[in-house]
Amino acid sequence: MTLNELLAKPCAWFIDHDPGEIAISSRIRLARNVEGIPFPQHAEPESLLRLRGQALQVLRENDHFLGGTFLEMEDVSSEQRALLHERSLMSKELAVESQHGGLAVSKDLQDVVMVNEEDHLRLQVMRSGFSLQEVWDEISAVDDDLSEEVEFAYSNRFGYLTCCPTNTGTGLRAGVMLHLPGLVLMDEIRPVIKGLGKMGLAVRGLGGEGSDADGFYYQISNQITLGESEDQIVETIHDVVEELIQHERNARLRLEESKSTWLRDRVGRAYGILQNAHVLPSKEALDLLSMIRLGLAMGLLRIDGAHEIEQLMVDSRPAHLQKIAKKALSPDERDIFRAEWVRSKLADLTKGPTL
Amino acid sequence: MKCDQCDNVASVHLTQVVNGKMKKLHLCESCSSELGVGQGGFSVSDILLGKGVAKPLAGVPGNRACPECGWTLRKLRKKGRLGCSGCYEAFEKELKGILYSIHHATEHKGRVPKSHGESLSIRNRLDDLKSRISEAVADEKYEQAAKFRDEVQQLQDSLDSEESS
Repeated sequence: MTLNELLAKPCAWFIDHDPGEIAISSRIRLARNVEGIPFPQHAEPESLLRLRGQALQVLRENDHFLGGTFLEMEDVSSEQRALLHERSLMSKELAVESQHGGLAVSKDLQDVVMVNEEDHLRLQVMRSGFSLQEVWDEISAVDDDLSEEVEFAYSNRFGYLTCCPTNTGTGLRAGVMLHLPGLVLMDEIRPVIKGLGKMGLAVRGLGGEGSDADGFYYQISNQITLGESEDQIVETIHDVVEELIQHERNARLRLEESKSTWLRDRVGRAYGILQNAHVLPSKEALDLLSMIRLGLAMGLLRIDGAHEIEQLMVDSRPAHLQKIAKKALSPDERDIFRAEWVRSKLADLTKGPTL
Repeated sequence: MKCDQCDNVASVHLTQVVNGKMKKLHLCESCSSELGVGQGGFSVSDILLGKGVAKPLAGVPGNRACPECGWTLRKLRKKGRLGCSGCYEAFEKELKGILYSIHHATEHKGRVPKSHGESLSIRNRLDDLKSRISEAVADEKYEQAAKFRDEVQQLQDSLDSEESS
């Protein structure tokens, strides 16, 4: 599959779940290095190029990547890199800084291997909804396959050896992205985040590391990678997320009970603004679309288009927006075009809100 | 009570919640200072914010280099990164302190790559299952404990057959 064919496909992990589902996506990544070559930031360019060639060749022949896409970063334009990053198929590091990077994406876009990122290999599997166990089964199968072809840097004492000591051991980061408007609007999210922090878990926004939680989206993931087995780490995240989903459901019920009119007002206003705005910054678009998503999940808006609303959240991101516009846009131009695009899409869907 | 890291008598006792599990540590005076415990640089979030990484390295000469790739302790201290897999051996003592500050552990308990031998992988899995059985029993999740016990039996059998062959 060529890169253009890949980019023409919908962003499956963000859209292919039940509309209104609280867990948006589940993701696990494994950091792996190849024995005998310094880590990418300290290695000679020739070694990295050789490693990339070998890694992409192994992946081309791997069952999980049959019919997939295989890229060398110098062949990928900055616009295409931004699109891949917005789809979580590539880290920011690889998108921005990479000199000798490579990328393999499976045909269903769920399995990814980044080459010469911070570590030689970063395996990632991502699926829509709450599917951490399936994701773990898949990524451990890919890891097993690769370990038969490549000698990983590993010590009996420290486990998988990674460039950064925060990944040493399992090299595993497991995370679930959640939509938690109920907890935010009931003003209950702060103690939840604090509690998760005390448990040694990380809470991040939609954009991953270093991002704020915009549009009620929160990513919960482990921080500790050493001293616990992969199964234990995955199970902990699974249990915590299960509990959070229950909290969110309860919060939505109480929201409906105690603030019903206020909630309808918020959802209705969000809808009204999106239908009528002519300048729409990306954060505002995300916040309002996220409110619509809540309205749809709670049956407060009668439009038939939950998937279209989620698609608009993907479309609203800068690189995707410029792909739709088929030209480069300045930030100000983007805000205008975003408003135009959202208005036209809502006009297609709309029979008007019945509140 | 013995120190978790050596055979001395433990005098430092710590309890902290890590990844949702209560962890208890018992260390002797010298191990706890070697690991940088009790010098303030102990919380996971401090380490992740880069505040604590340097602490276990305080006072160590920075120009010592990894024989395999030339990465120095100074670079490890400054960037919080390693140069190659050989650095783990070259800076083992310092790294133990860093890893302990980040993860509250210094030993891997997870999977083993296939190239490193089936039996080591099974042994790690057995250790893991055994600790999970005690956890499940403590949580009164007996059905889960029984499931783990069956898996232990199965793995033990395959280990026995591999070692006798």
